[in-house]
Amino acid sequence: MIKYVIKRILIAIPVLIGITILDYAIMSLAGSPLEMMLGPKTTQAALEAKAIRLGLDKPIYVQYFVWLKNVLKGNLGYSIKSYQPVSQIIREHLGPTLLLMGSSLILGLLIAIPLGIYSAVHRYTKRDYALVTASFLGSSIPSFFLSLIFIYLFNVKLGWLPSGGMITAGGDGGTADLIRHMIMPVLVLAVSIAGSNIRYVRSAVLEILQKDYIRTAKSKGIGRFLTINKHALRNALIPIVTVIGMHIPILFGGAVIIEQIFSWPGLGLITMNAILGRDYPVIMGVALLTAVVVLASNLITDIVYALIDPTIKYR
Amino acid sequence: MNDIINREPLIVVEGLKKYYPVKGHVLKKNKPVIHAVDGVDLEVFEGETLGIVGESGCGKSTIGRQIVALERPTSGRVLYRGEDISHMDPNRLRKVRTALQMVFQDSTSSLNPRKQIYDILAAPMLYHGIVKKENLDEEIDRLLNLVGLSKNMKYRYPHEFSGGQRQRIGIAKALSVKPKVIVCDEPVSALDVSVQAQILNLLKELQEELKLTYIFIAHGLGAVRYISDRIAIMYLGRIVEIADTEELFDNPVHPYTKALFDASPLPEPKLRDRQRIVLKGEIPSAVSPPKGCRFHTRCPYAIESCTLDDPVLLSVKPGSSHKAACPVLLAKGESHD
Amino acid sequence: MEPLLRVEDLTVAFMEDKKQTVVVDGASFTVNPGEILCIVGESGCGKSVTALSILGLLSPNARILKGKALFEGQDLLKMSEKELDYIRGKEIAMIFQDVMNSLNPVFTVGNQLTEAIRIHLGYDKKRSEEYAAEILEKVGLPDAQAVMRKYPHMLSGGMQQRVMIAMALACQPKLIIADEPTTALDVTIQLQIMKLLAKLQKEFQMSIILITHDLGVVAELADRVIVMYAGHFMEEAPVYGLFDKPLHPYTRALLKSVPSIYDDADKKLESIPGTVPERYQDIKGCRFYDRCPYHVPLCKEPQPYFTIEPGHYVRCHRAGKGELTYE
Repeated sequence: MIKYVIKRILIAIPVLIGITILDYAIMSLAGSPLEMMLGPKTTQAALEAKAIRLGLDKPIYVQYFVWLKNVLKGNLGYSIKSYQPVSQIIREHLGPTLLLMGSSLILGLLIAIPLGIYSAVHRYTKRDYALVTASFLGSSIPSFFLSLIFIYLFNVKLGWLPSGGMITAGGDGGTADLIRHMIMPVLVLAVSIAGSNIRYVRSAVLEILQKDYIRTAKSKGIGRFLTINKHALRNALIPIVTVIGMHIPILFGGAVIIEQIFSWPGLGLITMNAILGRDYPVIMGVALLTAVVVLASNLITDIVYALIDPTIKYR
Repeated sequence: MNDIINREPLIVVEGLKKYYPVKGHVLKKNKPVIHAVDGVDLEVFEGETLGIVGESGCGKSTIGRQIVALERPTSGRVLYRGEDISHMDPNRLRKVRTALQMVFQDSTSSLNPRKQIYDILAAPMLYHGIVKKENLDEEIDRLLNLVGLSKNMKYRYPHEFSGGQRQRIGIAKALSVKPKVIVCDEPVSALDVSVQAQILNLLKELQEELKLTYIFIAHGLGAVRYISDRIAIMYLGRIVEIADTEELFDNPVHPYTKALFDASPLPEPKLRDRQRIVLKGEIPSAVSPPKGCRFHTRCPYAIESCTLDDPVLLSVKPGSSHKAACPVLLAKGESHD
Repeated sequence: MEPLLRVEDLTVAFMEDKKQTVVVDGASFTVNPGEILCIVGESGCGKSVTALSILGLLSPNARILKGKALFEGQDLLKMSEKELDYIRGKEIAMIFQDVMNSLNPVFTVGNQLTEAIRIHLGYDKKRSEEYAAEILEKVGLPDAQAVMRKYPHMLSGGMQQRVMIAMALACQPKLIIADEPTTALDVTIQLQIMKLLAKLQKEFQMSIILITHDLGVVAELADRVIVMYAGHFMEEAPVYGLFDKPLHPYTRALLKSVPSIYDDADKKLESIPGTVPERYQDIKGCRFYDRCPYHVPLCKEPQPYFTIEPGHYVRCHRAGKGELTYE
């Protein structure tokens, strides 16, 4: 198993490099950040000077190697816009994104898994149809639409919850305050996650319920509760872990739209701005982070598979 | 029973070995392999049916695949009419293939479910240029008739047929390219009892009518006996006994053969308490077969030398074509039971 | 002697797209204490469905249209799931055909074995593990501790089947229903398992309903036999009587179509022409009519069960009246 993990890590390195090359190439297709800075106050000469200073006058592949060399030294560069170190920008915004997305994922799954099982066990009944319909709604409603409804309801009309931000400006902070700010964005995201996953869990469990070993469990008279929640669920873990594994990269990308609407200071927000402003270092920093996270979460998912499914053996 | 046309073997299998790597292992030295076939010599004569019998892991299906050149052996070779088909160049092999066909166990998965019977039968004939387009219709009708199916069925799909009928289609497909040899790999095992008899009888009739040579692979002794002229018993990649059918049943020598006979279902309840060899233990792993005689771990007659010496096939009596790989029981001569 | 199980007029259908297909039609039989009853028939005849319906293990699209299954006086078919759970695994246990898929791949053998023991017998963890080890030894797996730690896919087919048998035996049920327990096994392993079942049956004084398509298995193990075809019981007899004097044309045809290595060398295998009718539920008369060499117009009427002698019944008016003389 160790050998397998090492092998995967070794393969990941050229993959990462390939990804960053692609990212850099695509990014530079959009155009130079200098164009964004052109304005009434800046002269051509000043721009050219800036270009030389930032190294943007060199050809793209040279820029890439310079970037790569710096990364290998641990330096992610500086934002063209704010001159702040990219690593600091990411660090400051990563936490809020993780908090938001992590909570949504957990809440979403806490809803989806039991409901999905319930739906599968009671398939083709009215309850089942109701749940499936609800899940379609949950995954189809545009998140911005739902956000606006929530804001209108809970902030404008009822005044219960703050309309944005992470903490109350000028307030004492504290967990309760944080939670009040989190409720709406987390709910919106959780609804969407639960929506798509209820059906996925349902179909995974349905497939397992057809299996012969469920019939064997039933024939032993251990009762329906154990049959479903021990025998079926344990096997359903495998597809569920798949789903979680797929969601983790999304976790990091952040929900750009939600973060915009709720002014949540997360990665999604700054990535969006960086892209619009063609802030190369920030873009590449986030791209690199995303790539690492995707590769790592794939590997971790595979390792978890081997732990929960005894029929899998990696060599 | 069929007359064996001439004594020159149609197919010769020499020193056949086929090993498969165990899944998941990076190729390196001393990688574990499955010794599916581990040194087999055989001759098949024109017009006869050679039965190959054994339980799982004995290698019988693997031999079948080497004979129709679906796979290449790890070592050794297969000769068809004196030519080495195991190492033949693909162009020449393509022409020889029409002579060596296979009927599979599971006709459900060996027939393309999205094609009509017409297309399933037409494809190989057109590919090999067996028949011209104008005569295709007629030929397909003839084939279907030959296997006892109505020509009205040619535009149907495989799933519309019963298991027995699909097996007939599989046979028709094999016959369509006018083969000389058909390897039947467990052709009746997946069928209902009453249908098995139909297919066995059909195979027998076709053999006589078309002068075919069969290699009949099965795990059920009853069916094999019914259709075979000679039978080879296999265990863990080797042939342990080979003889003319009736000679084998009158006079089984190898302990495994006897155990197989004893384990064969006998529809006679009065004999249920008869003396029988009930083998102990499981079939050993084909990855690391037991040292010495492969069967010694389960053999009721095993002695010390069986754990050391790997027996070879020897004639039961000088000059006899009945051979067994058991020095212990061969030495006992006629008085064995 | 009171029968252990009495099934009366069991009729089971499957629903597919609002269409109902009756698969078992008016099956009636009894199982006595300490006997092995074989239900033999080809695929699709309804024998597995009969077995599964006794313990309420049919798939959700199955409907029991009518019938009773009286076990120690209570009708199993009318019981709730909770009531049935007391019987399942404890009074009546089941062994399934496709062993590889019938054992849960993510739990160890020990886990699956002790589960029922703990629930039905109330033993604690330690005691139930000791007890499980004893049972494993009884079914011929002496290295019980090692086996209990393994997962099903690590065992061979024969060993898996032994585990399955151990699971069924664990709570010492009065009745075991075995659905083709040896079909997927190699023939030498099959013999081992059959001998094991015979031995255990005597030792534990159980009754067994054995479902199979293999007449050799029937000859090996049965005390009584029921021959099933297209949802109907065609013949019922003690095993010696059935093989000695098979009366129903289907039984006879079946016996003649099985190639046995003990036949004479030149015996011709007689196949049964045709195939099992597809929508057989609509056939009210004898369902073997099309394939029977002895059919007459009267066969198209519903056929009653004739008693030839106590214990030997045949659903064929010609055989019942002795009109058929077999050579």
